[in-house]
Amino acid sequence: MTELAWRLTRLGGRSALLSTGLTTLAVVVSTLLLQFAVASNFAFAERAERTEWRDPVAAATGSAVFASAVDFYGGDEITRIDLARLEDDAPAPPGLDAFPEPGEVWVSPALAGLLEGVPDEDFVDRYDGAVAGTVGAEALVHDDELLVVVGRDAEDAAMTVERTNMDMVSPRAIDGFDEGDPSISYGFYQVVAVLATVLMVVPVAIFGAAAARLTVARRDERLAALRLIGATPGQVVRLTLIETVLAAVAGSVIGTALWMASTPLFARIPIDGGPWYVADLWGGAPWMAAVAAAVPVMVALSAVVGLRGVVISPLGVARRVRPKGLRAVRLLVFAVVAVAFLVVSQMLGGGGMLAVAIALMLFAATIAALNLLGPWVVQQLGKLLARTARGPARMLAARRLTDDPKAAWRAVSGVVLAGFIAGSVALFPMLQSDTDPAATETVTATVAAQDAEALAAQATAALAGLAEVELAERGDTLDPDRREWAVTATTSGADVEHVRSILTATLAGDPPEREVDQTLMSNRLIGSIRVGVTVVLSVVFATAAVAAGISAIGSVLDRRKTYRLLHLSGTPQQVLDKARRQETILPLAILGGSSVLCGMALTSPLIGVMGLDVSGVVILAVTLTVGTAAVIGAGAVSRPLLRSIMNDVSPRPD
Amino acid sequence: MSEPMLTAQGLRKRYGTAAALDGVDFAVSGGTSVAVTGPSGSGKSTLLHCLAGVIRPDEGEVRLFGERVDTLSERERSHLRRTRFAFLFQFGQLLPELPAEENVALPLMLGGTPRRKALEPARERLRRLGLAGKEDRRPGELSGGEAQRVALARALVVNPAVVFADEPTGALDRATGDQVMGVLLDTVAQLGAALVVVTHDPLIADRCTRTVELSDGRLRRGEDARRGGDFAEAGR
Repeated sequence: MTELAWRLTRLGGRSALLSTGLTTLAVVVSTLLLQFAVASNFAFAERAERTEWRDPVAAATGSAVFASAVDFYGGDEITRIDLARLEDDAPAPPGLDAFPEPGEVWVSPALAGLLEGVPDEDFVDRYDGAVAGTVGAEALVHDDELLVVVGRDAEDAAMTVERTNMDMVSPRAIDGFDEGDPSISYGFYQVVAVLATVLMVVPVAIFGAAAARLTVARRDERLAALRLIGATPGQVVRLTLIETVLAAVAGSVIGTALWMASTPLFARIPIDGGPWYVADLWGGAPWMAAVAAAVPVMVALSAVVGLRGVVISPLGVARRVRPKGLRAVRLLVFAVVAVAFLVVSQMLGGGGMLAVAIALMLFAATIAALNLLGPWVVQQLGKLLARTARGPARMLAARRLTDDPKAAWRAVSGVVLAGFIAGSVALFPMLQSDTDPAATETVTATVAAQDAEALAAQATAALAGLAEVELAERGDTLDPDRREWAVTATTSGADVEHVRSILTATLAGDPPEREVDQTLMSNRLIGSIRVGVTVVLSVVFATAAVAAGISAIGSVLDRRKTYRLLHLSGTPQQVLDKARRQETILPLAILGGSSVLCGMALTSPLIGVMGLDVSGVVILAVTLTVGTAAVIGAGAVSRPLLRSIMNDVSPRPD
Repeated sequence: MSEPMLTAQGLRKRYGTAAALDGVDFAVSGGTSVAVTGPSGSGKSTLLHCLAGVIRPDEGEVRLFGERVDTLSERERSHLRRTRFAFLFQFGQLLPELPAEENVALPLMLGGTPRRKALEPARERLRRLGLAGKEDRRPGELSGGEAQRVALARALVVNPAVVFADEPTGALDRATGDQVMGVLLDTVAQLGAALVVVTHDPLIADRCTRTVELSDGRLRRGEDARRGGDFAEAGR
């Protein structure tokens, strides 16, 4: 049977090869993107794991003291790890060969690069030591990470003063680095990555499945011949299934191989300030095989579902009846799921992992339900247009939309989803603040109340006139009732790092910061979200364009006989092209527009309407332009095929 | 009715090295019908395509009312096919998603008639072909004979000068085929149009005014001459 299927594919002529090729191509693209979506989750987990040593579990009697802080230099954040030995057998931290001795400053390669040519007084003097070497990659989140490990005496103030900032670890005794908590921001990234995966996987899976059905639908003529010579419907179904699965297996293998080969390219996508280690993307290697195996199974299942509707009579006459009306219950399902998602996400505030998981599932369900709603809307649109059409192109387009709304939806669903995503993120303010030093700069360090006076005096002495020092009492940013003391130094922009170095060395605890430094973390987060949104939109667009192209080519192949006869009767190709364009553009305009609004409506209760800012508008505009262009371009790809089919009057076509 | 409406002289057409037409003359007058017969691969379809301006012959000329057809541009020939010619095929020419009346109205709409105005003659045509009450059905909801009559209505709605039919009853059973063929011959005669039918079926050929037989791209004389199939006598 397999051999026969293979021969049929191979000898089936140009159009059979073309349609099998299209299925394979669709599966290649789907597999590649699925692998990417799945791997990204493992990659974030790998990164998160490498941050665990920076928050090691406390030990009652440890062999070392651990503390951390966030330092600033210019517009960069630097993660600082302070270590002091308590016992001789203190374990070496990751990335270092041995436990750092007091006065040893170990820097990450990126920090070493940044500090090249920077005078010691501007940076290294903060730590009262000298650079001893570089930290190995196994301790870093990524190659561009700025990290410094400082060896100190256990009595050093930096090893005793409490940190107040949430991102820093106050001094604690530890026994090792093997157990710890991953950084909070990676917890956040991992949740966002799951969200992004859902956004990417749903359309990719739908697309892959749809491609399988396309092949099945295109087979009737050839399968009819098999039925004529006595093949049973079961055999015909099996033959088709084998043929489709062969194509899917080939596509899955090629797609996975492409993914493996392109991991170095994908690794260059910067998230959280730096590119990935290629090994991170291989973190879920066993799952890679699972995805590769799951894809053909998914395609086969979808093909079986598709074949259920294709009853091939031996005469091969595709019987067409009045289009099945899609029921309005689709609208209801979408509304219920979307409302459920909105309600659950509203209650998310105090919820734990379970609430998050339920919200994510409902989010995926909302997108899947969008896929139910889409064809219904397309059909309603078709009916409306059919009533009002005056010209032939509009009438043909409208009847096509009514007749096969699912096909029209397949062609535009990707862009509609992209519009939904763009609409969802358009309301997030995503402007990054400017962090370059100004002419006059002020750095502030928070100090404990009982030491405030003394520390201010020490700082004044250490600065020796380089900056003006003030001591002020102020409310805590998060808790206004808690009073704290701040030492503020005002100096020129050129001297700010020098002043900061002196203050850091003098005042242990939270390193001094400029007001604008507080935005660095949100800047980095915004940068990551921007990249993430771009990546998700790119994936969705790639899917959309390929899906639109494949469905356009598929529909030309399906209707080649009719097109040829229409040409014979003098129908100009322009009319058919125009009808085909309208078939895509009309639903695209209406569904795309409403999906943008829908995305805005869904997320606005989550984030509150903060208003559109420039980046939101840019994302929206680019999404809509690129999306429309991609779909129209993909449709145009099929135009030469249409021309060749229309003009094919060879004596025995097919 | 005596002047030939559509004539061709010395048609030659090659596909690669194989000659599909090798010097064929042809003529048909208004109100008459010509059956083109011959074995598979004898050049029947190629002749039909050349006559209808679908393809250009390598040599020879085709004239409609004395005007050259084969020298027109693709656009002009498309226009000619849409306005002066009509086509009827075995099956598959109806758009499955359009109701019968819109399928019939389509050629008029392609000519620029607004839909509402194009639907009137389309319904009228369907009624005359006995399809009243089925205007709203889709091709899949019609029987083979009914669908073929819809296709015929579509062919005739533009009031063509020449109707080209390629195995028009090939997908129908004998009785239905006879019925469709009868309607085809009658209405074409009523319109004063010329009919060119490509067919394998000798019974259908017998019902036409005359028959020409193609063999290896040439007209065969002999048996056909008995029925006056010669070019010189075509205008009978």
